[in-house]
Amino acid sequence: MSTDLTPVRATFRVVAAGVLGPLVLALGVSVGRFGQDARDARARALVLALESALAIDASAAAAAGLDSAMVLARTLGRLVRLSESFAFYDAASGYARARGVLPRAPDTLPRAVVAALLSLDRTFAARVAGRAVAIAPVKDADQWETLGAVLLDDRAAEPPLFPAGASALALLALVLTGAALVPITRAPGRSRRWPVFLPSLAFAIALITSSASPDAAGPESHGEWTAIVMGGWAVIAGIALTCVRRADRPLELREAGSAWLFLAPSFAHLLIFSIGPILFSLWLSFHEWNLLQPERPFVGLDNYRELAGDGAFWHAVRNTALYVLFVPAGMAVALGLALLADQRLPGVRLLRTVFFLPYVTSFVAISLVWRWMFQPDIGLLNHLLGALGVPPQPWLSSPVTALPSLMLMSVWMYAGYMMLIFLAGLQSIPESLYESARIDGAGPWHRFSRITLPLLRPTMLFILVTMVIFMFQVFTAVYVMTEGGPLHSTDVVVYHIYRAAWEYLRVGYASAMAWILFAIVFIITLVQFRSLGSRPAQ
Amino acid sequence: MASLATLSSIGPPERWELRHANLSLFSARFNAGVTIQPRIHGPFCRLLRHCRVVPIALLAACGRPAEDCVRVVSWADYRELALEQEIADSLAMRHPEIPVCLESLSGSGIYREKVLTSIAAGTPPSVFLLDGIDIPAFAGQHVLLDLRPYTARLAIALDQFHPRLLELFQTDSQLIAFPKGFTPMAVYFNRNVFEAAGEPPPAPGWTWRDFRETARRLTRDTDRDGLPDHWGFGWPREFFYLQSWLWAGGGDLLSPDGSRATGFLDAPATLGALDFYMGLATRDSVVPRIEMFRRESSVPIVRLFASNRLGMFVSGHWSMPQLLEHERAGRIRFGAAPIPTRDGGEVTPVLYASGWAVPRNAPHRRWAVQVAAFLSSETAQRIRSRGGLEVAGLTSVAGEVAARDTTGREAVFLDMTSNGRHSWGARVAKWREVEDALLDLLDRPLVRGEPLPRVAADIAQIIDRILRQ
Repeated sequence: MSTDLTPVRATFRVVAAGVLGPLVLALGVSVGRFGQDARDARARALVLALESALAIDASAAAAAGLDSAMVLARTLGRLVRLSESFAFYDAASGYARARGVLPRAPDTLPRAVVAALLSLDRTFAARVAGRAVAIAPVKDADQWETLGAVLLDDRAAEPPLFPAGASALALLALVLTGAALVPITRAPGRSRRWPVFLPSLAFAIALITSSASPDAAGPESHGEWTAIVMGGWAVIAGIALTCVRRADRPLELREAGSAWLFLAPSFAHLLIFSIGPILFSLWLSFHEWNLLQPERPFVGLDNYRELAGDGAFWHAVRNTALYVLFVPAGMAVALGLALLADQRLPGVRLLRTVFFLPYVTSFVAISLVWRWMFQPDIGLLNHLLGALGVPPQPWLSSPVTALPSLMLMSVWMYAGYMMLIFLAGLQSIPESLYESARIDGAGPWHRFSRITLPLLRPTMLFILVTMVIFMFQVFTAVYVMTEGGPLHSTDVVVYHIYRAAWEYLRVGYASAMAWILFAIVFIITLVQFRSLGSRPAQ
Repeated sequence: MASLATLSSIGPPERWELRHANLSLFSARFNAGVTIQPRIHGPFCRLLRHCRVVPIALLAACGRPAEDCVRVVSWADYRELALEQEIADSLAMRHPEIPVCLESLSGSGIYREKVLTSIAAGTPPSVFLLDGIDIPAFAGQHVLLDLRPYTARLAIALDQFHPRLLELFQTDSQLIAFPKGFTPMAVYFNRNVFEAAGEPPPAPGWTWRDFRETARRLTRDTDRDGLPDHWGFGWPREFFYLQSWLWAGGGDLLSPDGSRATGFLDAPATLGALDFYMGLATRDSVVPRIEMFRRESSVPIVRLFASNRLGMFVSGHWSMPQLLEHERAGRIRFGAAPIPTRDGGEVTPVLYASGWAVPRNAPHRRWAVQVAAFLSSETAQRIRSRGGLEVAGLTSVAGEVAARDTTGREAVFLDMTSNGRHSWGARVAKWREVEDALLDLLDRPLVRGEPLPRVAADIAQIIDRILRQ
């Protein structure tokens, strides 16, 4: 289905795009701005709480302590330009006071409210009528007792560019307009999919603006998470509505609606547990973070610069690349097994199951068993070699044989999986081709090399690409069997990343490594597709 | 979201006067389904009007579900966890108002990941077991609560703890954990293997020469296939098994201030100790090759020991529960002895310790501190001592355990604590990187045959670079 744009629609598109850009930008800034406001309010409330803790003395008369705190807070407010409105609550007496309002008599808060206040163990910010309001517990000097709470209505802060309602309307307008503009099926040369990314742009801007403040510590505040969630759902809604809008016939409309309905949970899962962490790791790779501190100072490209000169990392890359070489060997073994399992022989079903078993067994369990089999003194492999008159091998104990030993185990472990894929490929080749070849006098080798192998090319490409990607992430075997040794001969990239993040607490640096690994795998996959995927089977 | 919607519906301040009469505006619903409706008259109402304290407080309470118990996280295995549960039950008898949830993650790597992740996520456990090796990393980041101010409130006499143990958790006049227990490294010897070889048990004050000769005599080829199947000594390549041997030989890894390795790791005394240690494998062949080049390989070593094929190995008190099980099953009889020194002088064993720490941002701070204190109390340590995992941190309990023990093993460990020294890991923030660099200290001479002095000098420079970063 091609898309013909009438002049009216084209004009509408231009106008809408011109309006949408600033609108989205303003929306992003608005959402991000709240995150900053909330953080400011929390910080100020915390200052008030800490300062008033000095004034409120649990042993003194509550009212007197509270009045002292009020005086102190007012003074403090003038000094650091705190907000117009704040209040104190004294837990000892249930006595509360707000600035500018002198109560006629002490009052007592309801029990549940007292419990809610006492349960506070951190500052908390919320958005009320477009403004950031924060509440912080007031603790004693030892942080042992909760003496009360301080609440701060941050009037001093400038109001966000858009109030909540306007933001929601803008978002809705954005999604609907995007849906109206974007074709679901594109004609060659007429594709205009970029408006779909406008919500993503809003999301990115919101994140950037909210994390650009000096005390930014990642997407922790309520506002930033709101930005993330809103941005994410805007993307989903934009795409979904786009598809619905572009489905011209009722059937397609229903199908598109149903599809997106069913896809929504998976997409949300993907967004939260995959896309989100991936973007976060990219962000982290430009920062320094030790996990223990909320501060993540921006270091620019320093992590990547350091990585370029990190010999241990490139050694790990080399080891990983060498390890991945087992994939072609494993494919050859798997193809042989698949050819065997494809025969109509007795017990072949059992054989298939046996070959596939390692793949469904726990990798850790397999690694532990193979570790014992590789033992130089009492291991099974040396015992078998000894029976054949071959001298014992050091296996995992030598830097020369450790990596090949892991590769040997991996061939055994993944051969069953690859065999299964090959078997599916073999069984999809029409028998008539072999019949014709036989009639033409082709022998087994010719049938294999001229029919089987060419027709298995897509299968081989699939196995090669997926296994190479998978094997570049090898970790379990190294972690359980060698821990990178001896002499770093089995130190692979993911194990290196793991150590940098969890042992050395250099999460930013580890994230940079992960992105370099991604780039390497991406390029290799691209090369594989270009070199193998484009050639049609002869 | 309902609470947020309620707050949003309050509207701008100028309209509050019109709206506040509506009770539902200030109603919020707890998770448990309790509806709060504050009074609408008097000063409190005024407070509400001006500051909206109730909705915010309730939102704060609802926005982050309150922890319903004091989470205590440790690396206890199934044996220890049963004892920890008994301790928690004992605490519940005394403080029924404190709900305690025990969580255990056996396995040091996983445990560390879990604690770090929870701290990073802002949801730390209320109390967690702090390994001595992590003290510099945690203490330097100010993530742990200083427990000293609470000792007076809880009537804890710190001088009841072993001074060596206590000093580990005191940094910059702060107490970052209540001491739990500790252990020196000692030599476990298998009495069955010794008796089969006609060897007397190790005597106090034994030297490296005595040790080597004993190990040689314990190493035997019983099936006469030309390869030994019983070994005198077993060691993994992890540095913390080696550290005591460097000190026993008069050497050291780092300078006293922990700032550099050059001049210490490559010093003659250290090289002599390393040469003796590695010579046990290369020259004397009293060490099995099993797992020699894998880290954390004490488990196979213990298995060999439990099958009466290994005469001696070095480990901490933490190996005792496993060995006791084998002893109760009648498989082995074992004893403990101090690590031998080069000249038979006084041994300086390395000490490894742990304590109960409270993160600064732990929920239920008061309860958390009370629980941490109880976990280090005499009651808890007495219950825990039945497991035999460590030397109790309280001198009274440690003394009781040693007095009860008729084998003399506990006395050996307790005596060694008085001369013990804390590991470098408890003092150097980048210890894990240093420790990784030290792997090559054994691997390069043993695997590649490189000369030890050159390797030690290289690694000393690498460590210096790590420490300078």
